[in-house]
Amino acid sequence: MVILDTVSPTADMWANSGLGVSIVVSALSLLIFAFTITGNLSKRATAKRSAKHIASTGKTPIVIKDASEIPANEIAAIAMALSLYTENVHDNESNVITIRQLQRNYSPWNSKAIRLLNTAYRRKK
Amino acid sequence: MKQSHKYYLLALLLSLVPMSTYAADFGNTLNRFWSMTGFANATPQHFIMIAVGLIFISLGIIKKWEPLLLVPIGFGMLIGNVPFLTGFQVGIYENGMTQVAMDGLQNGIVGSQMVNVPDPKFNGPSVLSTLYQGVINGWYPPLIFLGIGAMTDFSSLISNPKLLLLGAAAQIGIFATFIGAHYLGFTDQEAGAIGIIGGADGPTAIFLSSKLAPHLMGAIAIAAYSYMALVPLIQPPIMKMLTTKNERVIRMKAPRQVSKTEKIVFPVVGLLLTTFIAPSAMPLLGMLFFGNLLKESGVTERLAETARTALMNVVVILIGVTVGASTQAVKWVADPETGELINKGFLSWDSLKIALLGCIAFAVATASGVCMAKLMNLFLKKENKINPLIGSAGVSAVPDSARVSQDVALHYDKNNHVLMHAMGPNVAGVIGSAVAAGILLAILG
Repeated sequence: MVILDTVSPTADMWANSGLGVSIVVSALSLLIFAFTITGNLSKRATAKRSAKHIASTGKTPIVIKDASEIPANEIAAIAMALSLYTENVHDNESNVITIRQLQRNYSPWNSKAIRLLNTAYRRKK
Repeated sequence: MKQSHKYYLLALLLSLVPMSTYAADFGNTLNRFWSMTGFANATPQHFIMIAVGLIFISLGIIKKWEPLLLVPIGFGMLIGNVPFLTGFQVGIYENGMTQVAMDGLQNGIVGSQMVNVPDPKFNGPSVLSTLYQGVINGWYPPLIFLGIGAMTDFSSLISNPKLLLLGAAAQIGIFATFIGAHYLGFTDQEAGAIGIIGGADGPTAIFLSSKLAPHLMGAIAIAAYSYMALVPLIQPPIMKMLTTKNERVIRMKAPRQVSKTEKIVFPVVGLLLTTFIAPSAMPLLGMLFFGNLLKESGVTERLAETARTALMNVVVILIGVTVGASTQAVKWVADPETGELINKGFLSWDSLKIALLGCIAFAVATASGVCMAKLMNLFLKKENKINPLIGSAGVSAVPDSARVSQDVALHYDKNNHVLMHAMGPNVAGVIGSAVAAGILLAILG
């Protein structure tokens, strides 16, 4: 195993900074390269799928040639509406209200007839 | 006097007999109790820090500037600056350890060195110290990155990958501040930790400072989060200064629709490419891309939901309170060489310098992003031109800086919505600042 001594006592600030910036730029440039390729591959795959679909069904899918035809305000409004819709999903309730009869089971613990301290009451003549 | 009242009076007199007997002890106990109260130990510095904490809380609640961060940090400052006598294992720095001199071999020379060992008289670290371990050992920031990954939609970046360059350009702020901090007298490690403020990424700043300069972590985190909250004030003047009126009204082409496969491939390829270049950034980038894969895979929705809500909220609470509590006004630390006590508290000239450097870092990062967009426009076809206002979103204050771009663009053209485009450099900035942190850690760690 090789251990690199990266800490140099005479490390030059400017050289380190330049190196740092160039590594960040090159790392992200590599990502640009990779995602440009995957983007092109994806576009090709979509075009192939679309061509297959047309060949098998004979129907041409509706394609918006230029998305800029849709005004930006409309896109923003649709996005906002979708966001509000997806964020405000509640449980759907049945809205049916039922009244159930509550029946109390008999218990000698709260029976008035057998409790010890009976309250006084006037006897009818 | 009634008979019953006489009995009460007699009982009261009798109860005072033992009290008078032990009056001296009573006085001593009261004195001891008083010496332990916050009132007896308070210094003007404590009150200054409590006032700063209250300002943070007020800004979060009244102005609604980053309330999810400023309120926990502000309250943490109140907790951390309650004056107390050390030794009762309540403070955030009371970790139940003690320093002892031990003979050992260091750099091939036998000598005495100070070593931390558990102190038997303390029953482990304090509660705050235990919670603070997530900051010290750097495991809160990757968990926050997991949540960010699980809530971020990278579609705009995938549809227009060249926007990654704006995120890369904004990282110039980090390295410019790194140089500036060096010239202000900070060591290389301290300068690296301060420079990362320019990345406008709180978790990354905490992660790097915990590794390079733990003693400056409080000041760095506070500066990073304060400037993130001040993004709507700092960025617009710089954006307006560096752009012409015609550039501000450039309308960008709508981003193309991104397929699900592309969204799934993105975190896998992104992780491998970036961490192979900067493996030190693996804890941050690994969790960021893992969180994004959970979101985009479509089969782990429960995990993604937990990462972006419950887990993220728990960690934000813990990181906010503990970072706030770590900003103690006065913190006496023994000099390892002379043994002399030095104040390493928050109220020092170093903190002021860090605040100044942080502001410069944000300004440079914003300017670099805008200038890069202008530079790219020189090489792009007319229909592919970039609105330079989205360049400022290269600083990774998600989504505040993207929102600022949108607001400024709408000010000049009420129908020009650049938010979607601005999110591209914004998330690129998150990746860029994590890569930059990895590079600084590799060079200076």
